[in-house]
Amino acid sequence: MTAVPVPVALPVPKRRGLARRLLSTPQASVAAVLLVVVVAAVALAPLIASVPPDAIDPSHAFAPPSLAHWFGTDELGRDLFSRMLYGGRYSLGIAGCATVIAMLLGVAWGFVAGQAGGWLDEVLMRFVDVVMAVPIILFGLILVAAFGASVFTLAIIIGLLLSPATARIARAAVLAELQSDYCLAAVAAGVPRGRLLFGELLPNAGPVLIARASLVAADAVMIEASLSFLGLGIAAPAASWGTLLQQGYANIFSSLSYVAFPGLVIFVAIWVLNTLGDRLQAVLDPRRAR
Amino acid sequence: MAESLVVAEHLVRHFPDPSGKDVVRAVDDVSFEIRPGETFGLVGESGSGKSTVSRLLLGLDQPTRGLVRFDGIEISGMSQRRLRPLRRQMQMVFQDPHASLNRRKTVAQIIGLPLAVHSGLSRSERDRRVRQLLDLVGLRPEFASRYPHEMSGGQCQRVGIARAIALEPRLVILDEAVSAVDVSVQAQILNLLKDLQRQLGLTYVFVSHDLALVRYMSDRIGVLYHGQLVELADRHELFAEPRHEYTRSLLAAVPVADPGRRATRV
Amino acid sequence: MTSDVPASEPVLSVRDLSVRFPTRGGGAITPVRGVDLDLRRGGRLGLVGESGSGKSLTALALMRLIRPPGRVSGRLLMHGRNLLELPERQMVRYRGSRIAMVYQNPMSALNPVYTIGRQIAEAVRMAKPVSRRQAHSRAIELLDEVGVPAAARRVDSYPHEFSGGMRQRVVIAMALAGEPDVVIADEPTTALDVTTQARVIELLGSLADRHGLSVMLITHDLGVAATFCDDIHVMYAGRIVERADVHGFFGHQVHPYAEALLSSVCGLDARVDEPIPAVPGQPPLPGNLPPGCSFAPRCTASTERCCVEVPVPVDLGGGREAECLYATQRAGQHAGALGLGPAGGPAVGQGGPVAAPESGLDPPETDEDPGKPASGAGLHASEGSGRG
Repeated sequence: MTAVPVPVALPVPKRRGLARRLLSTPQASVAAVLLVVVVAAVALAPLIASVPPDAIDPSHAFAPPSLAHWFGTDELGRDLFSRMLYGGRYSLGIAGCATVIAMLLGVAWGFVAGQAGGWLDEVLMRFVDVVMAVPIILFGLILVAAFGASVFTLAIIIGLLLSPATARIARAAVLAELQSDYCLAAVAAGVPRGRLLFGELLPNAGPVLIARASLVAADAVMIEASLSFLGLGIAAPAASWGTLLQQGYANIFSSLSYVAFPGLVIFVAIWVLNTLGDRLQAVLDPRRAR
Repeated sequence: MAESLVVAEHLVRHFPDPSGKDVVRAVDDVSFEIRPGETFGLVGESGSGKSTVSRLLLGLDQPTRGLVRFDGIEISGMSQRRLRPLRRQMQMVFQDPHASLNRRKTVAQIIGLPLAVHSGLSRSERDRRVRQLLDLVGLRPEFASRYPHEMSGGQCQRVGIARAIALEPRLVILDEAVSAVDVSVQAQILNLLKDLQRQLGLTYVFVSHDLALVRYMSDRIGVLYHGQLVELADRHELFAEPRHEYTRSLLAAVPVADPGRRATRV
Repeated sequence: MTSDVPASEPVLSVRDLSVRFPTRGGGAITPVRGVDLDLRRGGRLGLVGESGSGKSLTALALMRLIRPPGRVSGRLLMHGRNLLELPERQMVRYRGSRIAMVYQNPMSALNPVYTIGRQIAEAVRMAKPVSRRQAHSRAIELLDEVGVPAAARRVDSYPHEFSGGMRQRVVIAMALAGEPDVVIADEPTTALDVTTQARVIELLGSLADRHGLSVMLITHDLGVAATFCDDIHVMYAGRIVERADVHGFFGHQVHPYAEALLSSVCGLDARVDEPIPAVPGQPPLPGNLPPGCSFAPRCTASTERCCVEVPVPVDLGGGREAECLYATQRAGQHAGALGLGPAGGPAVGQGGPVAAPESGLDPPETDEDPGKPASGAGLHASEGSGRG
C-alpha cells in the first residue's frame, strides 16, 4: 500500500516552452550547442577556412595539428580542417536530403498502410519487414554499385533505405490516433480519407515524427560515412567525412590526427543527433519514450 | 404515427477474443426503432455493448449480422464514401470532452470541419456560422480562437455539441455525453441538450450508464445487458414497473442523495 | 487552534492544511487553502467536491504523498503527533499501519507484473515483521475478507485476471493489510459500474464496522456520500465551505454552493419536464480565484459584500459550520421556516474547532428521517410525472 506511486496531477499544467524543456538535461544542452557549432561551421565554410580545401602543399604532408593547420594536413599537404569543413557540406547535405526523403516516403507509406488496413496494410508492412531484414549497408552497397555515387544518388538511396523503419513508426502513430475520439468524430462528420490523414491526424502525429527525423538524420550520417569508408562515397577530389576517414585510415601510420579528426567529428555528429532525437521523443511524446 | 427514423434489426456484432480462439458477442441480436423527434435512451454498464450499438447506428462500425436503416436507407455495409452524403444527417457527441476534440486545432477549426466538408460555405460564411453555433451552445465568440487545452471539460463538451449540430442533423447520438463533466456543469449540459432538441427538432439517442440521467432525458428506454436488449419500454413504464431482473438491480444500485433511505438500501 | 474536546477525541485532526505549487512565473497556486477537519474514531467522513476543488490533493497531503515542488503546510495530528514533522522513514511505517489509502484507479495502484498475493503480502510485511509464509496466508485471509471468491486459489493471480470490482477489492485488502486506524478512500468507486459500486461501498461499510476503522471517503457523488457517510464536508476552491452531519446536510444546506450542488444533481426523482437547476458558470481555477468569496461569481444570492469580503467559517451549532457571510441568516431562515428553535450561535469567526457535537455522535443508521423535506432541492419531490 505504502509504496504505491501516486501520480500527483498539478492542477494547472502550464506548458513550459518547448526549447526549455528540450534543453533541461545537460547532454541535450551540450548536443544542441554542438549541433549549432557544426552546422554553422559547415555552412560558413568559405568564411572560416583560411586555406582552400584543395590547395596542395606536398612539403607539408602529414603535418601534425598546429596553429596554421588546426587538424594537421593530409598526404598531399592539404589542410584537413578546411577539408573537414567542406566535407561536412557533402556529409550533412546528403544526410539532410536523405532524411527528408525517408520521412516523406515513410510517413506516406505508414499512413496509407495504417489507415487502409486489410490486405493493403499487410502487403505494405510485409515489404517493410523484408527490406528491414537485410542489413542497410549491404543494400546500400548493391544500390550504389548499380547507380553510382553522386550526391544525388546517395541521398536517394539512403533516404529509400531509411524509409521502412519510419513507415513502421508512422503506421503505429496512425493506428494510435485512429483509436481516438477526435478521429472518430471526423469520420462521423464525413471527412474524406486524405483530409483525415493529413489535415487532422498529421498535426497530432507530428511530434513523434519530428523526433523520428532527428534519429533518421543520425542514421543517415552514419550510413553515408560507412559507404564512403567502404570506398563507395562521392568521387575524388570531392570528399565527405567518410571519405576523409577512409583516407586517414589508409595513412594511419603516417599521421594519427588524419584519422582521428574525421572519426571524432562523425562520432560527435551522430551522438548529437541521437541525443536530440531521444530528448525530443521524451519531451514531445512521453508515452513512447518509456 | 410517423415513420421510424432509425431501425435496427437483429443487430449482431462479434469481435475476436483477445486470445484469438473465441468471439466476444458485444452486441447479440438487438432490435429497436427510433421515432423522429424522440429521445431514445440506451442504458447499460460497461461491456453491455452500448457504445458498439451507437457506432453501428452511425455506420462507424459494421454489424456481423443484421442491419441498420436510417430514414429508410440501409446503411449497414455502406462504405464511408457512400455514407458521406448521409453523414450530415447524423452526428455524435462523445464521452471524453477533451479527447473528442483535435488538440492541435482551434475551436473554430473544430466546429468548422463538418461545415468545410459538407457545406459549400466560404470561409467568412463559415466563421459566421461558427459564431452562431457558439452562441447557441452558450459560449462567447472569443472561444473561437481557443485550443481544447485552454478550456474546461464543460466548455469542451459544448464545443463537441456545437460540432454535432453544425450541419443541422436529424439524429444526434449522445454517447455518455455528460459522464465526464462535473455535477454542477452536468445540469447545464443536460438543459442545453433539451433546449437544442426543442429548437432544432433533433432526435436523440442518449447512451449512458446512469439510470437517473437516462430517465431525465429519454422518452423510451432500452436496457442493454451483455449485448442483449433485455427490456425496452416507455420511461414511465420502465420506472414504474421494471420487468427484467437486471433492470431492477440496476435501479436498486443507484445511490440516492438521501441518507434516510439507506437503512433499507445497504 | 485549541486541542479538542476529550470526549470525542478524533483519530485524525487536520489544522490549516494547505498545498501549494510554485508556478513558472515565480508565483504559486494554492489548490488547498487552510483545511481543518476532524475524523472521529469509527467515523465516516465524506469529503465532497467537484474536480479541482482540492479534495484529492487533500487526501494525498494527508498521506504525505505530495511530491516536490508541491509543498504542504499545516498540522496533521494523529496520536498526538504531527505527521508533517515525522521523518520520511517513520512516515513510511505510518502509511499502511496507521493510515492507508484506497485509490480511484485500482489498476494503477496494483503492479501488473506481480501476483496480487505477493503485493498484499508485501503490504503485510511492511507493517509487521512476519515471515513470508505467514504474510502469504494473511493475504489469503484478507482476500477472503474482502469477498474475493476462492481466495486461496486466486491469490496467485495477476491483477489483469480480475474484473474492475474485484481489483478494487484487492486494493481494499491491501489497505487493510497493515491494520490501519484510518482509511482514506479517494473516489474508490468512480471507475466502477453502478451495481459493482453499490457492492464495494457496502463492503467498505461492513469492513469499517468490523475493524473499527475511521474512513474518509472522498467523492463527487452525493448519492454515494449519503449512503455511506455520517458527516459531510463540502469542498469548493480549496476550502471546506460547509460541514454537517449527514441528516442535517441532506435536510437542508446552508452554504449556497452546497445547496446549488445538491439541487443540480439529476436524480431518479428529477422532474423530467423541467430544467434542472444548474449552477451557472465554471468552478474557478486555483490560480485565478475571485476576490472575496470564491463562490460569489456563481452564487445567485451574492451581494456586493460577497465580492470583496472573504468569508470565515461560521459555527451554527450542532456540529454545523458554513463559510458564508450570510450563514447565520440562511440557517435562521431555515429554522424559522421549519418552525425549529433558533439555530446556531453567534458567528465564531476564526476557523476554530467544531463545537462538541451532541447529536452527531451516534451513527445515524435508523430509518427515521430527522431532516425535513429538502427545500428547493426538490430531491424528495414526488416521482417526476412521466410525460403522457
